[in-house]
Amino acid sequence: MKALNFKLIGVFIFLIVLSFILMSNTKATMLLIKSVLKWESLNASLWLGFICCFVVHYLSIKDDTSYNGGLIFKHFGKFADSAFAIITYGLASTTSSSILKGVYIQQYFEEKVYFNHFDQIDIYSMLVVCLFLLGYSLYAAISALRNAVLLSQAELAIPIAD
Amino acid sequence: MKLYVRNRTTGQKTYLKQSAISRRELANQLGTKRFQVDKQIFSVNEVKAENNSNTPSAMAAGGFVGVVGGVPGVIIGSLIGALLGKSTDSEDKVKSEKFNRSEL
Repeated sequence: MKALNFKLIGVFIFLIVLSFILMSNTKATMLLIKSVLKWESLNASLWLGFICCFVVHYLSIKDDTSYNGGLIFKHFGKFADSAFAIITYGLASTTSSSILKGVYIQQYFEEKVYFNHFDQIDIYSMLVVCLFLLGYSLYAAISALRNAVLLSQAELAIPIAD
Repeated sequence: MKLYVRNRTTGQKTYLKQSAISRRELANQLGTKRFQVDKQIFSVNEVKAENNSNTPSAMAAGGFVGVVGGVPGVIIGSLIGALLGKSTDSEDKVKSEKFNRSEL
């Protein structure tokens, strides 16, 4: 008998509930999203969040001799790897949230025209790309934080002479 | 991919901070075939690898971010998240199977 994947079942239920809430409170949800995107401290909060996540990540890998990072790590080391992550994800998320604000208000509320000479297809492409960028940046930061917490629960194998 | 050994008394998994693509590489990293974890001595041959499961969390994150696009956004976001999570899980599974097949 195959084992059930409870995590996937949980996510499926979460998505159904989320869709149901969206359908039954469309106007309220749209206003909430608009107020989040228009929030003055959104950029500062994103930067602060990324700094916290990647500082914790750096502290967890600082003394790890077996750490394998990406290209930046291989050439410049762990500190540069974490600093680069803060800068790239911070810039990507703040810029994408600003573009999202413009696209969202223009398309769903029609209060202001942020993108004057753009076709509808370009505006919806920007919406998808910015959503992906923002989502990917947030996911990367949360993953780094989660891995740091999991790694701190792991044990260091101490070699014993044969 | 996470490396672990099973505690001999409790049978519970103890994850290792070290990471390696094969048992040989792990032994090279340690400089020996035996090591101590949780006051118990293990051989590198007892170390096993397990793959991470990123699909559910990537799917949930995609769906959550997709809220901006309404219900279609939630569906598309969760599908993109699931595809991305699945591809990293598959890579991770190949790595962990390779580690588990490796010999000293």
